[in-house]
Amino acid sequence: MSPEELAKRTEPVRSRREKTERRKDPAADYPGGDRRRLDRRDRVADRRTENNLMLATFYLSGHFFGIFVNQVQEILLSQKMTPVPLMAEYFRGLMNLRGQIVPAIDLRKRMKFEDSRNGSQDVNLIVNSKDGLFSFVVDRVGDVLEVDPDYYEPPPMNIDSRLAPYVKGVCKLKTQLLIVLNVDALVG
Amino acid sequence: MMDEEILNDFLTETNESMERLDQEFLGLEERPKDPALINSIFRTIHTVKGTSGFLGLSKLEGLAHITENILVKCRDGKMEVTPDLINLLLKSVDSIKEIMSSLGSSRTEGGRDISGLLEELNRTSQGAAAPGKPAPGEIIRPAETGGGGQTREEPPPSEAKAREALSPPKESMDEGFFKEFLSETNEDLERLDREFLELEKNPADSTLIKNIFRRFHTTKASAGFLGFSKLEAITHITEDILAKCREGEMSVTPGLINLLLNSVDSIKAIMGNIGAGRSEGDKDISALLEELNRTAKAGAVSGQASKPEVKAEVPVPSAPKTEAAPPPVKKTASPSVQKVTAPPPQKEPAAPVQAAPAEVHEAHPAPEADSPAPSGASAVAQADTTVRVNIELLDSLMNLVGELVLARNQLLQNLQSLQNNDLQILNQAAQKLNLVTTELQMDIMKTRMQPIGNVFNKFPRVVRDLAKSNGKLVRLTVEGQGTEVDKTLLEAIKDPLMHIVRNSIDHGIEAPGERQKNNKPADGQLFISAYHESGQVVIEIKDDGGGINPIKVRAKAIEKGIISPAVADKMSDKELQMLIFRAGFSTAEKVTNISGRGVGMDVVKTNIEKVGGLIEVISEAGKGTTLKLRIPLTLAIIPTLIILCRGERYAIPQVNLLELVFLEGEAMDRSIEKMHGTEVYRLRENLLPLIRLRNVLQLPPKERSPNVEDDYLYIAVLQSGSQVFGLILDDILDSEEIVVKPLVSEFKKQQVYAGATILGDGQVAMILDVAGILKNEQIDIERISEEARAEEDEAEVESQTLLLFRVNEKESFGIPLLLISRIEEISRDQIKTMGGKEMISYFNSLIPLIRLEKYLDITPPAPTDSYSVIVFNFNNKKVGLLANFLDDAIETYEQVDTSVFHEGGVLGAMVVNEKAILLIDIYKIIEKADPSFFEKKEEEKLPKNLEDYKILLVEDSPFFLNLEKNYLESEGFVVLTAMDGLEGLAVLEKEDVDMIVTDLEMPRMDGFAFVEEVRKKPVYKSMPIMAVTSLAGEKDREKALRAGVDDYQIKMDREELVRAAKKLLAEGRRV
Repeated sequence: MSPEELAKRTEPVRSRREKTERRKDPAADYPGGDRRRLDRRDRVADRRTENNLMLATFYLSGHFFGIFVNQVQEILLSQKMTPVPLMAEYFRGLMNLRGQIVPAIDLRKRMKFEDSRNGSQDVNLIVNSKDGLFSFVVDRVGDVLEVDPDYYEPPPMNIDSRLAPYVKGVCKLKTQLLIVLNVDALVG
Repeated sequence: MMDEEILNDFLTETNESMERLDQEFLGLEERPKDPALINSIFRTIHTVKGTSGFLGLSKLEGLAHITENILVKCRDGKMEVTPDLINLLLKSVDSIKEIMSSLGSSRTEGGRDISGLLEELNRTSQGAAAPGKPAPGEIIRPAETGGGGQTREEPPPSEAKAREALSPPKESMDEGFFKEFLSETNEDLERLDREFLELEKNPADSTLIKNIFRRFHTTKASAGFLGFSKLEAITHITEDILAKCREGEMSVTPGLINLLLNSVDSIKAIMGNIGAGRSEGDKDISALLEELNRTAKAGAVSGQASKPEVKAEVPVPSAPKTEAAPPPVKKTASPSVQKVTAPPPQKEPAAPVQAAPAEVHEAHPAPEADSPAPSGASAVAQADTTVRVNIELLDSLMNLVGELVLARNQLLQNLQSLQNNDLQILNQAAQKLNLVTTELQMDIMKTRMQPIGNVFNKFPRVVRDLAKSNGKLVRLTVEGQGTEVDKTLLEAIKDPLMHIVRNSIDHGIEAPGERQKNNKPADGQLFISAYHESGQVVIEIKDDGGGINPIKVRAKAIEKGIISPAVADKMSDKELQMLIFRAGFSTAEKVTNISGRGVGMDVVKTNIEKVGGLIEVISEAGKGTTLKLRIPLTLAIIPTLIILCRGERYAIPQVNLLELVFLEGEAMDRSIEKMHGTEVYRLRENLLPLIRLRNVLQLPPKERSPNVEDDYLYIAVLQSGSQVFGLILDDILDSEEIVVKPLVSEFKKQQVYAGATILGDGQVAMILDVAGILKNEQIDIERISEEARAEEDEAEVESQTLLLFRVNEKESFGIPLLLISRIEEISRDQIKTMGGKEMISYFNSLIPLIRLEKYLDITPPAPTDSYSVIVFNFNNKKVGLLANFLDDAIETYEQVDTSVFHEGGVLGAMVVNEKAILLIDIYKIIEKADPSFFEKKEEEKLPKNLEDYKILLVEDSPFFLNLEKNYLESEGFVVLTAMDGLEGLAVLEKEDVDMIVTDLEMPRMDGFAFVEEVRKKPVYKSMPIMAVTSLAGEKDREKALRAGVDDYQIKMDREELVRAAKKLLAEGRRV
């Protein structure tokens, strides 16, 4: 996808986001959206440019992660799954996405986090990987963030060994670090 | 540079015709004088030459050209068709094929040097020409013809002559080919109109001219092939004009285009006639031909100095040297063609009549010519019965239909739950949808169907070559080429089939000499047939060769270590023959020292099974072998059985399903037996090895319902290849046609899954792979049933299943599982003390509890909050044993060591998994706890004291020997023991015995033989004999009774054993 297309695709999300901010509960529009507002300062890019990175963010056991938005096809609330015996534990099962069979990967188990859900509903992030469509089961999704490429850098050497194989890069947001995950590594 | 589309068309077309060539050459070998065949071959080669010249493929052109020259001579009778010549020509066909495949893959003709072949061809061609007249077509060496290719005139004069002479007999016209010709040419004509109009706009567009040229060229070739001389004449001359335009010798003017469009119109009219009545019609086209001719010449003259050798301007029928070619006979013979020959009347009539030796058909009228006015429209409609469809489009259609099927399933399922009167209409709609979907599904499926002949057609050549190289004579008969199979499946079975055919000739059919020795005709028969049977396609490859000799297969299998000699001894001939499908049976190098077929048959089997097919071998040594393949019609939508395992649904393909067995309540435990570590079920006298789906999927075992009557299970009897086994399922739901959906590779790695599907309610379900499950379980079913049978005779050590438990941390105890009625988990406060005895209440009754530490010298355990109670049920009296820890239920073959412990209540010790286990004698323990527990209800009246009875106990397993001896001795009997039948006989010699208790499965001499032996002696005619066994099969029971056994008891059941023994002694032998 070209940057223009990318921008076009993500634009409605952003503008809606800005519109809804004036409303009472802006996050209500997002499936499983983050109800605690992100600090406004985290939105690193001050102006929209073509070069800005667009990251879809989500939470896993309290950690904050992002993946490039062009790899996200859609976001769904918890879906009916068919568990498949004999598969690795992190395979939650198979789901039916409009006639297409999509395997769901529990990202918490994939990255060996403890399960910290408190009975809250899971969210499925449908991603496009080199091996086709997959669903990433995460705790909840955050905003789509626009990040200036200057704030993005490769993963540091001393990164958590659990994460190392799956991390593509790190974004230094004003209030926290955003770890950008490698979708292909996670499904492989 | 090279037009990709043209090249692709050329590749497809030529590849097809090469397949045909193989066949035709073989036909020629049988009938060397058949002019129609030679002509047909000639035409094919000619087309290849022409097109390759046009495409600038010089190597190919040179090869085709020389081959064509030889064929011309054969046709003209200047050269004899010998097997050697055919071999040479086939070699040339092979070379062409090779070049074609190189073109297909790399767009070049490949680097293979063909000069040797060319020289040989040349020599042959010249050698034959030398004695006779010079060949009509001079030999052109590739170097001359090659080069740019564009300098080449199409067609050269020699070909014009040759082709002119070649009109096939119309009566032999292939219907399929004819239809294709109609639809293709009509399509071409449509395009031509457009292209000419475009050419008018861009007269210099060389690609366009090339395209137009090609269309005319194709039509010309087909017309020539089908004997439509009028059509051929028009297209030929038009082609000549276009060739000149292409070479720049003639410029494209509006006037020229008008003329060419006229010619297109004429062709259309003729096509209309052909479509309607199979004849070209009698419209006079001589005026048009003349005009075209004039233009062609004028163009040539005006363009550049005329080349004398180019006689392309001469319309076909007027070629001067026609008399050189005899076959025009056929052309004149065909009534419709005869009429057509009229237009260029000046030269044509003379030649055919002169040359025609047979005028049989001359007299025939041409009824078709009078048939109603052929309108172009109807012709097109008739011709359009076949359409070429992009396979990707078909795939997508297939997907859509799949979705439709799912929607239907969904609708039907939802309706069932909603149904009431208001929904009547909706219901009707659903039914209609059901019908439409089914029909649509069938139709779409058919679009992917191809006749299996596409694969079978390759066989004649392969058979011929192989037979030749092996010095064998093979006659091939092929049947059912029209049987249709899905294209993907066809691809999948192509290689396995080829392999089987090769094997048949390689190993099956014997050399002629050997055949004659065995009173068989020298030439072997190979019979290949295909037919539909119950929704599947069956392919049989049958030969009358030496068959598969089970003895040789056996030797080979043992040598290769596939089976042990002991197992082999137990195998039937058929089973031995099936060994050829075992991996490892075949070797990379050819196995020629045995007459069995073994080269890669395991691969054949795997490939057939991969597409859901089955393979079976039927062979009789000395008489021949038949391989029977069953393959599904299509892979996309398959009928399945939906089953349940731990609440999840799975689909099992119906192809693998033979039958379903339902077991409930007690039958569950009784019918499923254990045999050497594998569960088996007796299905109509056959042992059916069982696999539990829950184990395969590594799911916890099914919880038993507290009410035994509610317990049930299903056994799906499944077949994979020749192996039959039972899969134990929780429940079955329904049969459903499912659409196989693609899965990501991660899931495909699990061999127990064949794929996934979406069921009617939109949920995903996995499809089980029956062959994969077998492989995954790592048990070879054939082997197990073989071994099971071997063991029945060899009577190896029997296994016992023990429940292991502990009352304290240290000591482990074991109790045979067979004695246990059930196990309860209780908490400490459930234990009530009444009258100094501990009890628990259980379903309105009280069960006395036993603490092991009270009766055995073991460390008392620390009190815990919860216990397991092992409940025993003897004579409808229950008693419970308190266990603090339940460890495991194990199956063991270990022997009981009775030498160490002599404490009452312990049978002995054994070591399992490096852990010492004390075997509890529960009867003794219970007696210690409650001496009145086993109170005899009604004592059999025995004439003597129990101590006066001597019982001979024959039992090979020390475990059971000790157990049973213990039971009997505790009653007071004197027990003599023997370890097998022979020993038993020896004891009988010496001792005076009152009764015999014998096991049935024993080494050396088994129970059946032993009993028979005993009964033979008059002294023992009235000896009471009781059989004890762990096998409770009806078959064994009958066999034992026939052998002379009076009673039949299950080991372990002390009560029954003792009661039966007393009864037998009291009543004596029933006679």
